[in-house]
Amino acid sequence: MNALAAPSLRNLPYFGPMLTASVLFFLAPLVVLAVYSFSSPEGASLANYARFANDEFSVSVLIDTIRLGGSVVLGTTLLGLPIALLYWHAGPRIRQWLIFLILLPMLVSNVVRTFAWIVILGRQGLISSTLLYTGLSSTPTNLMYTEFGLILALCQIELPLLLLPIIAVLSRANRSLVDAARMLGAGSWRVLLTVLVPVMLPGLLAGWILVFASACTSYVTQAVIGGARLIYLPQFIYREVGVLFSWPYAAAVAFVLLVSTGVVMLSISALSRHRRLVGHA
Amino acid sequence: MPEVITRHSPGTLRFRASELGYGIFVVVAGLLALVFMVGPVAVGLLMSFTDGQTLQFPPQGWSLKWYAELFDPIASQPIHTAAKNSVQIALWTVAGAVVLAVPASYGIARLGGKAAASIEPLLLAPLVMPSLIYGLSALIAANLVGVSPSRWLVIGGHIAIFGPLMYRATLAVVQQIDPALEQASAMLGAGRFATFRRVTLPLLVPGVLAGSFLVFMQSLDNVSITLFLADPRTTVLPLRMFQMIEESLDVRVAAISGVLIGLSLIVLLAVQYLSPFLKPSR
Amino acid sequence: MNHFNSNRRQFNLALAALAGSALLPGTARAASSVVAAVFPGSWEDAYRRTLVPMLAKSGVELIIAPMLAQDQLAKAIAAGGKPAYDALLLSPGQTAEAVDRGLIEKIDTSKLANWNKLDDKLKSPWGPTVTVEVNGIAYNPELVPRPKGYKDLFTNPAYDGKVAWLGFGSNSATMAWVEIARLYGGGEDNMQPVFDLLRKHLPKIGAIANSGNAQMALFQQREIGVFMASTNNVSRLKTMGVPCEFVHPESGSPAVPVNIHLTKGAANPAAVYAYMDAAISAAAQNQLKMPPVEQIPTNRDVAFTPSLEAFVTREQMAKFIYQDWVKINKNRAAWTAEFDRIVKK
Repeated sequence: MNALAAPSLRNLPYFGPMLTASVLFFLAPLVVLAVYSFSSPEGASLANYARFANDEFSVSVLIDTIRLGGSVVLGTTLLGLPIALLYWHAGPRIRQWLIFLILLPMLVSNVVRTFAWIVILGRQGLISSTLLYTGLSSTPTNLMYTEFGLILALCQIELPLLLLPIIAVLSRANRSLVDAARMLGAGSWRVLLTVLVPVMLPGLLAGWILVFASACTSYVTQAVIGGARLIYLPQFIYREVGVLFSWPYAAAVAFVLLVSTGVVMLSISALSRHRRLVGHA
Repeated sequence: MPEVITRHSPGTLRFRASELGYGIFVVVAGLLALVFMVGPVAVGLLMSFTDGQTLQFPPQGWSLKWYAELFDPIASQPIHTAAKNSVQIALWTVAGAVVLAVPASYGIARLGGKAAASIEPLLLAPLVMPSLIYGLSALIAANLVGVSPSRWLVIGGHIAIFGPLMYRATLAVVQQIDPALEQASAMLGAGRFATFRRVTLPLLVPGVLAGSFLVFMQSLDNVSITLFLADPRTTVLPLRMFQMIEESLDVRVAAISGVLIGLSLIVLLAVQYLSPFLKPSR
Repeated sequence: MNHFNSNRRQFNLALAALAGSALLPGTARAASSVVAAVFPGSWEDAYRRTLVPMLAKSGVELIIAPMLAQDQLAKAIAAGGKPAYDALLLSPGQTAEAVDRGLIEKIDTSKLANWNKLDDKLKSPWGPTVTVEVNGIAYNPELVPRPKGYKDLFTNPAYDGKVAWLGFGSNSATMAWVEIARLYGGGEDNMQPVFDLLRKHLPKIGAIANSGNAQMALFQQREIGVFMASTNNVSRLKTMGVPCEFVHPESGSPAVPVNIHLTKGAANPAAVYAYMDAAISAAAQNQLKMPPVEQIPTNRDVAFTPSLEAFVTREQMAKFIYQDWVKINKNRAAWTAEFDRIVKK
């Protein structure tokens, strides 16, 4: 028996059930989808994929989608790290309140959130009136239906996806490591970089995967906050399915979305298995 | 001794003067980020307390009438039915995700890199599967094998699509646990499963809680999977809410979010009140 | 075949009921029952209130399945030979698609006692029209002057930055675009004038939204002052005190008949006919014309209420424009693609 098979067998009872469920409930529909994506009037072919690849517009939509995911990952990281640090330095009571605040964005339904963002980003909205009032701008600013506005909204909505895994990791982190570093004379910034960030890393990487996946595929938010002038793949797919009823093409585009975003997520996930990067705290 | 940051009695943060820059950064940037995160929620919540007829900001006068309307068993009966369906499905999904994904995250973390890398695509792909596409392909697949739409099919679909959230959230915690702990337990004669149950599982609790919340909320928010895989009479809450805004800017939609926030607040206060009793020593 | 299908379906449903009875609400069915897809929200509620008790009296159990038209169609296509619903509720855009894919059957009109109470325009061989939704222009009188028609919105600078539009994904928007195309020399098979107009006018457009839902929020927050709406929409907003008025465009109002269709392979066609007949009966429509749904009656014996007549009269109904959806559907993919390319930032 080779080295690879031994741990696989030993761990099978743990991941086997999940794997079986995934094969039954995910892989089976995926096969149906694959078959659809290869079907064309002339029989099985790559025609649907070729149609996508040869259309500059569709490819630009794909690139925009991946870029949107990347921007949101960056935005949530910049916003999320300070909150994570606040959590790390806080006592138990403040920690509980922080967790409550972090849950909030997900507790508000999509439709209400959309309404709130119109209130904030619109021409008559809070940002615009503040800029006018403070004299920073002399004309109303409309952030609604702009890429920047959409990224802002997605960052807010998806912060919990980034923060919850980080907090799960931090709440189990060993404080003595920090104390040891301090005893060796490390300053706070140095402790942050050399001790805290590595401790947070598994959570951060998990958060990146969840945020990226969600930002790239959150059809409703993209549609209602982005408007019709910002086009991303999920909208594209929904329209092909529900309005134009060209399912084989929709299936092919869905596969393109799955594979291209999947590659990004798998690379992040591979990082989290990297021994030197993710040491054991 | 250069004790920079001291943890004090619950609810305080303290930084040494020499590290003022760092302290200010953490507090100021952290609070700003929190305001950004919570601001839109506050806007939504404030709108639910309006005295007016429709959802709007700023609200026209204050009242709790939309909450009263939401809890009215006759006026809001269809909402209650839809909510009951959605919550039931979400709870089953969370249960399924805990049972399947938590052991899986442990098992896969202890696999070698190559083996894990070959299984992982299957567990991550559901995260980027558009749910309309999934709902339709799952319906077609179910038809091919002669399974009719039902509540159980919906729950299976939700577990397949949202279970990976649980998997990824707990995996992060597993990766942080030192395998030496498990080896020590094994050396003391505990079996593999006993070690998992007694040593690893309790350490995973924060990850499982985070995962449960994510799975629950995503399942509650989902329309397409439920719509296509359920038997036809099932109504779900998010579809209902979407329609309520489109038809009449119904304030009860905001009140539903208010109720969810209120419930979470109650849970938080209960935890704060009970935690001294639950955690006797440390 | 029918017999086999219905047996298998009942068997499956029985199984599901068995599995579900322990913890989930049961799914047992009465002997004579109809699973009818109905638009979610107020439609669903109104049909539950009105038609379910009515049919129960004649021994038919009406099971309401709330679903948007496009989802009904998608589910019907995916279900293949095993239809999920006995009856669909669609508007012409989807009906044309359903006919094309052989999902629905022509009906035997002799089985509907109320068939001859309908106007000729509302007698589709594919199923009776239960109501007509009338589209036009909704505007906020506090923000913009009253528009006369679609052309006004592009030529009068008072509307610059104030009008919201939707793309060809939306049925009601598609209808408005077709009417606008007609005004500029195009129509169901020529959308070029609209695209030329859009290219030129794009910077002056208030918003191109992606759902009716977002449009409502924009309108309520005064971000926009004009959107394409149905009379029902405006009437509801008005009752709730939102400053909102409806205009029939001078070129005529595009109308959307909403029809009940018999699914091919329906378990119990007789019960579906009973449901159709009830939906176009005077008794039902006299209830359905009242708030909050205020559906425009199609049965000639049903009088318009004063509140309905504020928007539409029976005389105006004769002048409604019914568009050719077979042609529209044929062009829709190309239009959608072109629209995307023009508006994309």
